[in-house]
Amino acid sequence: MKHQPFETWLLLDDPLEPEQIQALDDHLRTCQHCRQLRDAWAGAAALLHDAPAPEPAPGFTQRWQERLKKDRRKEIATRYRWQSWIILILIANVVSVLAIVLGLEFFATYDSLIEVLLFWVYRLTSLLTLVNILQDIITTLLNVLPELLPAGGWAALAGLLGGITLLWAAFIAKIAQIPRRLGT
Amino acid sequence: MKDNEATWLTQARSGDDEAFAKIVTDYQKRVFSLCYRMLGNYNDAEDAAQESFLRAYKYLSRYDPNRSFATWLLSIASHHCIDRLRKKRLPIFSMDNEKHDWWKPPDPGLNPEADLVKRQKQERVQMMLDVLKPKDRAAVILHYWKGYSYEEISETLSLSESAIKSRLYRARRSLAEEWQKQEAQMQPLDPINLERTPHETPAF
Repeated sequence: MKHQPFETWLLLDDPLEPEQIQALDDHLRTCQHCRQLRDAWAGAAALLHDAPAPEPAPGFTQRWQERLKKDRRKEIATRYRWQSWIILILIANVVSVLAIVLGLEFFATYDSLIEVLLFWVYRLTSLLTLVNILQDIITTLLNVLPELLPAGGWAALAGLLGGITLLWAAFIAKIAQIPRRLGT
Repeated sequence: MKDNEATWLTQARSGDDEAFAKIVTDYQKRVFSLCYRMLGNYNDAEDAAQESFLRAYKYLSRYDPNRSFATWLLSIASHHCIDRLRKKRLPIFSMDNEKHDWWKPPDPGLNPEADLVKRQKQERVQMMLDVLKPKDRAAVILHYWKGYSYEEISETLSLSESAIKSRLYRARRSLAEEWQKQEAQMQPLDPINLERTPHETPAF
């Protein structure tokens, strides 16, 4: 037995023409398969219609507001992390370019390895001479300075330097805490 | 109510969280019930509904005030649920049937028996919906529970009206078949076969 178009008519929402209704009724009287389909769909539709609407637990809006705040903190922290990475990459690039340029210039100036070694020996000797001169200056100053200022003046100077150091340390600590405050 | 909604939306567009919170309160049941029907369990529905509201708030500038806000909001929720179901890639009917509403507090307005009947009905409906594909399920929910026309469903799910019609037709057939299966399982066993035979355990 053919079940089309009766199955389609049973399952479509569109209203049927009077002659279609008549044909469907005639078919249903003789076709058990289509009768079962009609009853099954009627039962399913009734179940859908009667099903109680599920509701969220009380306090949905408060939970949403908390989640909004959490999401924003997360977003800011992510943005902060990205900015840090971008700055770090930029600095690394600048340093790399400078190193390459200086390296190329350095090797272009000297033709052989011996010349490079001589250059570094010369630099090292200059550095040691400079350290020696600085040592002489510091020794002289240490002998002369205590007589220039009274004991109170030295204490005030030490206090000022200590205060500046503390301020600097506090500033560094504050910067280090930013990501933690942002929730990361 | 519509005037209030328009005012809240205008305020929310300029970044007023409290105004959008009023919208959330107003639409929470509609969005939650859609997500529950789509996902089949309370925890996922809560998470999806919250996420849908967050997305709606984030992209509120894209909302066209000449269109229905409810349609736009439910469209976001439907697409979000469809994506979640696709990402799961596991049979939705797996072990979830046992877990529906496991932490949901009982309805204080109902006696325990009525609450049980309500839950059983919910579960039966959910088992029926679980046999449908995500988009077909969304179409059924919008049509039968939200009362949406074909045109509104096509706008919500970004599909043509003819596609919606054929999806609903397919869904009705699947629902009817699932209903038949459930009815067959619920039928009491044949009383003749249940009659006690002498060698079996004696009656109490």
